[in-house]
Amino acid sequence: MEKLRADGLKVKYKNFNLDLSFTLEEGEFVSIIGPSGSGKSTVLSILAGLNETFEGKLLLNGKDITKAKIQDRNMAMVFQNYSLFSNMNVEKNVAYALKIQKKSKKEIAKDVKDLLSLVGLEGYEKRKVTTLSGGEAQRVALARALAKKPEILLLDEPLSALDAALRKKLKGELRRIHDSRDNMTTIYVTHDREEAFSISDRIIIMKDGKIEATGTPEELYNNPPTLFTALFTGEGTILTPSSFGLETNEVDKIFFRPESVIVKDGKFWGDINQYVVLENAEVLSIDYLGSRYLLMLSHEGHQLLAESETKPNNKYINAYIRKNGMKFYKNDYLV
Amino acid sequence: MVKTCRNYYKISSILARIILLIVFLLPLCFTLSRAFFTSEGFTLNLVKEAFTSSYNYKILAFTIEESVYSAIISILIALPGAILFSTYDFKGKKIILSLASLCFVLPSILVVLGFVIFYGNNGILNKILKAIFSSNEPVIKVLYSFKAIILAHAYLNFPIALTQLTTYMSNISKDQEYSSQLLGASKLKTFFSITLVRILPSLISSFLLIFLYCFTSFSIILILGGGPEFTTLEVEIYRTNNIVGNSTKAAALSVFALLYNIIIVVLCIIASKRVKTVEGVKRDHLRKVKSLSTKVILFIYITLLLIFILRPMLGVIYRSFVSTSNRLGTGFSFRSYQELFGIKTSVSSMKDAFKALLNSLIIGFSSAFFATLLSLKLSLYITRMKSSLGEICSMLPMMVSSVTVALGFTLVRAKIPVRGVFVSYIFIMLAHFVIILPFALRTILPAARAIDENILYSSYLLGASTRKASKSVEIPLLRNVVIKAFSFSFALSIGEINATMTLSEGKITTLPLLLYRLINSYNYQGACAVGSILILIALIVFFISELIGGKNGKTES
Repeated sequence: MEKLRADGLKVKYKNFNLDLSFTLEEGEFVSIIGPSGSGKSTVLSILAGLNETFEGKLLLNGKDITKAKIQDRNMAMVFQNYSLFSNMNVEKNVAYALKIQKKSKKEIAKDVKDLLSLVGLEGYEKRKVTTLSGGEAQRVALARALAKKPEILLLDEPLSALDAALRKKLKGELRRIHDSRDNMTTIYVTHDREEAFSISDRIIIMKDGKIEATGTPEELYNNPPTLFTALFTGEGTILTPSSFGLETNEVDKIFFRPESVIVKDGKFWGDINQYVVLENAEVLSIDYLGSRYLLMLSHEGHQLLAESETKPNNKYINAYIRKNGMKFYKNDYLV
Repeated sequence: MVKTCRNYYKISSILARIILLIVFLLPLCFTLSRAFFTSEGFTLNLVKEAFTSSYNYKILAFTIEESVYSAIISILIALPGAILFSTYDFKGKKIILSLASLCFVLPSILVVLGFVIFYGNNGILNKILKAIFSSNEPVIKVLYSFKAIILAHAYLNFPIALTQLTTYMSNISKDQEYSSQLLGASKLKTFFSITLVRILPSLISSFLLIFLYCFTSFSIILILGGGPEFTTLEVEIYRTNNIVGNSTKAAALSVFALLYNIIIVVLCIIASKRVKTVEGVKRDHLRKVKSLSTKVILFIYITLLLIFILRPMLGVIYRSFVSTSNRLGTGFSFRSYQELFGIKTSVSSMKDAFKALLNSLIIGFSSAFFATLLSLKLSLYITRMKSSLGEICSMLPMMVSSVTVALGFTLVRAKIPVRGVFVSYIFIMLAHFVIILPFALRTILPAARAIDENILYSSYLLGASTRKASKSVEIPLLRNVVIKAFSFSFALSIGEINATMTLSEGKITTLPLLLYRLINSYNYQGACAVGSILILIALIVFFISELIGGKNGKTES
């Protein structure tokens, strides 16, 4: 069931134009990713009602909310810098929306307790928000937003101010909380591809104020519709057809992921017909990634990335590119 | 900020904006009209005369000269401190910085008294020196000279430079200095070629602000200058209006002074804007004091600074217990305090002391209350509307000196048929209000700007109305700074003498006025007792502001 429809959203700034449309299904966890300045946060601010300089239409449950007041949109937002009310303790922060909803003291106390337990902060009620660590502060911000029981939860790079280990832990919790709250529709803005891949049902990739691609993480990784998407969603190599001795007008770029390239020092045992063979490729660099090696190879003046489970012993090796791993593009679009 | 929310700030500050315009612009218009309109109609002659009079330019030259010297000396006193305080971390640093800022809230008349008591011909310093050199003549003659003016101005204003420079220098990354030293430059070379260039915007900003305060300084020049040789524009306006009785000429002179004040304030605003945008700041970890040479330097500087800060205050308190009256006996005595509180009868102005205290407190409380309230409303309006015009308008009172404000109010009052003490009271309050408003605003505005707008947005998204969000989130976050602004305004109002002297017409006595009269009648013990009360009030206000206002000035989560 369609939850939110954003139709022809347009914003014009001096050096930036936003122009996009998208829909959100009930209960979806959608991530918006893209490079800095691509307009991700602008989209959130339009949805939340914090940006009034846009054209277009917003429908929530089929109802027009384009001109609705911020307070009436039934959305909540968690900001990158937490935005906790530093004049209130943890309990009062979380209870803020509940008090506005005029809930009884008993209900408020119970809700606050439940929410703090949900975000793993039991017993933090009386703590001053200025004494919290980054991770704790972000959990309080999340609990405060959830207290409102919003129809759509907007998360604006909520983990980017935290360290890597904490980010990893909290992103899992975000998904768990989403699933535990009757699949509350959630929009998650981040510039971290891996974060988005690991928790989202669907991903919207933005570039220069427009939607570049949308799909499930698997779709976007395995069949990137544009070259930008291909490179934004992971490592890969772009070569021209002429690098493979092909003469064609239908394709101008060929893309493949490093895992589509097998390297061998010795004899190759697979079905050679399934592969394009590059003989005597020079190993330029070897990056150890833990479970595997990422190799930078050079073949006839072209550089390409390959993956190997073992470290090559020779300076020159044979590279085998899996044919079904090769994606063909014309004018940056998948053909 | 979104339009619907902006409307709240627009509407809720309407009254504040109207009051600002009426209270400030009305007297100013009266002054201007007196300068441009005579009984024969509009004329430019008066102003033309003011702008062509060589005497006025002579006064202007002196005003600029004393302001430049005062500002340079203030910065020279503050700069070593700023370097030390921004580089090293040591116990008591905060207290010393706080103590230094106490000087700024002390009434100028009290500083004058402190100087008279300490440096006077029969002052503490000369008594000690006379005893050492077995001389009957005063060894040091500083009072009633150019030096005295500069010294008193430096005392009042060096805290501005010390606080501004320390804050600025603590917040700039030391990477460039380290790079310079790694490339072989000595510390001294690094300071002159790198640090000085980097802190120049802050240095210029402090210089201009101190220059402005000294340019419009009044009581220090009036008393410590001691004669026509050391007259500034402010004193001349006062003298022309109140002593010569020529309000038309005084108004024309005010126009002359106004032009220069505007230039300086505009320069101040430009300079302070440059300080903010100079670079992305990054705080380095402060170093511990380890080497002996640093410890010695720090000890010497702090000792000298403490002597400089505390000497006039301690001198005044000490002298309030010492009687030198041949008629009533010499030596230790509580007499002035007994007279002050009416325990002993007095023939001098001392009989007005209690009334003066009451007047000062009432005027101080009411003007500080309204100035703070208005500043809060205006700060929120300026911040949320991102209104540069609003900011400039609110700073307008800074462009008009306190004597000119008072002159304007005198002219307004002349048009009002109602007479009496109550009217004088109201006018003094209004004048104080206009004078202290920019200070209150300058205290609240940066804190209001520091509040992250996302906090308000979070509040709206959680269902709070703009009014509710402002009341429950925004204003509580400004609580400490509002208390600080109130204490600061209160202290400034309590010490205000320029406008009060012009407007009181002898009907209303405040503590600084009483002090002025006692100094003029050579009742130094009485003056010191009144001064001690002023010190006590300043201390109380200061501690409240430091304890409550200074505590957790953080406005962002």
